[in-house]
Amino acid sequence: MIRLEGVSFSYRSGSKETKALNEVSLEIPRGEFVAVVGGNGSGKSTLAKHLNALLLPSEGVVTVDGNDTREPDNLWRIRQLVGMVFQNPDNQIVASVIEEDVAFGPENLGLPPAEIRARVDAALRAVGLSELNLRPPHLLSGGQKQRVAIAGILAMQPEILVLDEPTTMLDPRGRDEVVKTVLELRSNLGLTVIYITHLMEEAALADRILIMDAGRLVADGPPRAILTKPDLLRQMGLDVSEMTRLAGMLRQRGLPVPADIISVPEMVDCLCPLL
Amino acid sequence: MPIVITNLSHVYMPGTPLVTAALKNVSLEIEDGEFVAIIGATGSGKSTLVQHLNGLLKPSSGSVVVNGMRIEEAKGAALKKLRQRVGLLFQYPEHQLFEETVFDDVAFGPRNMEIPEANIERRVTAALEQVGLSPGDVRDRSPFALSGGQMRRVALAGIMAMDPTVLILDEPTAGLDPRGRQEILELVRSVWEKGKTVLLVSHQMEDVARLAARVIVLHQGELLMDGPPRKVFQEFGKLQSIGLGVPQVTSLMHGLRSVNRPVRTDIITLEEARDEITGVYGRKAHAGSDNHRAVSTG
Repeated sequence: MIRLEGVSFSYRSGSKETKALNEVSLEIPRGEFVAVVGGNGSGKSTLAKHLNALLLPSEGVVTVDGNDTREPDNLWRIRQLVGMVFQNPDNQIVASVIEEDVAFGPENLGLPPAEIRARVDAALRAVGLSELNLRPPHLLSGGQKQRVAIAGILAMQPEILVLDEPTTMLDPRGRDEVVKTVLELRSNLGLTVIYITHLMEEAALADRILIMDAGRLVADGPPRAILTKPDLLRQMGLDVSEMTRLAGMLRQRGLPVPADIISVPEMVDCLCPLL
Repeated sequence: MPIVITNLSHVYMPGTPLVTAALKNVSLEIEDGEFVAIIGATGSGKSTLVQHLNGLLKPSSGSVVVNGMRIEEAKGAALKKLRQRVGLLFQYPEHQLFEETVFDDVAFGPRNMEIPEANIERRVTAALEQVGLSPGDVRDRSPFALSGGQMRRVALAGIMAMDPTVLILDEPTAGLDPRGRQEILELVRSVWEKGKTVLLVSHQMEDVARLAARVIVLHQGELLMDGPPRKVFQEFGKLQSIGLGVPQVTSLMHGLRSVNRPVRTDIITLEEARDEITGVYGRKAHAGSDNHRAVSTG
């Protein structure tokens, strides 16, 4: 369980102070898949970096499974509980062979070699890359690299996976691979997932969506409730998903289509009896 | 300035164990004023292709002729001229900003062209206005103090200040939020409407469908398809097999067709989808009421 209570974070550039987070309070129970959306500069990444104590709140408290992030003695525990994956896969890979890269974390934990071996194999299996274990990373596609980065985190056996725009630099296949991997990990391993994205079709897959704007948490609810509020989304500079827009346009023409459609399969199901 | 590419191949690191054929025998022509989208998976050769168009890369074999000039022979003043006529915005161009002020950064290109300083002032101001930045507000600021979306616009202004005839953008919206993405795309559209040739490399099929009149599909260095978006996106299965998508509305129409609903599948925009679905719905409702009448009078 992650808990934020009245968390604010300010940084200074020159004489100007900017509040990147402004009194954010929320709880994320174990096993939940939460998408975080918002414009550039809305505080999404700042929020993510508070979850594993990369940043510490200027005000308020962040706890991860009861561990206060401000307490230096908790740092190891928190970093092990909360794994982070960033936008650019090339910046996250350190070794010249994939399985060595995945072993980097467990090696740093000082685990016995047999345990490291077992963790690396399990992690690569979980992201579907077992057969590529001896490849050099530069021969992988973007989606594969990002899955290696995820495997490296899994080898630490975290409970919470935080992904900060993991598909932004990938092509459509790479995006699909990463999204599928995340969904599988969530259902197979029961991981809590916090997923930052600009893509509404990715956010639609979550249990819950948070919208950030100017450092504040401005909306929090299930995808169907959030994604079907075009006015709110536009006001926040966000996209309304294509199928929600189409549903609105069809309704205007008098077709009996529900307004809260968010995916292509849903739209197919709902149009079938009408056509 | 028409672009004629004939049997273009490009090999990286020839003669080493890392030799890679990035482009294989690509031939295509681009006329003045076209809006062309280039799509393909990572590693398909998109970036390699566009870097030939302003002479950053030279063909390993084949030829690239821009406005009558063979780029493989271009050097010195002619190459400089070519780079000014064909503006190329790289991926994440904000990483290439380097001057102390926005003004100096945008002025860098025109100054290199040895344009008189008085004209540079005018060009920079016009370019900043064109990309939607207020010259008065930003000209003396450090480009690094701006937001990501603003920095990208400064980078684009640096290209526009050279007044290119052909504008090539390599994934110009990657990493931008939806508002920033729309702003950049509107800008690109307005540049094209002023008569420039635009080449847009993109992974966002909705954007491609909305903007481009022609789509070029690259796959493993080869030209796989070249045609209007409506035709290209009809190849739903083929595109998926090479790791590309189609606009969501196209995928919807294919989904409806796969369960035998009588809809057209060559639909690429929301408006078209609305009209097609509304039309089929209306005909069915109409046919339904005819049947009803037939039954009641029979």
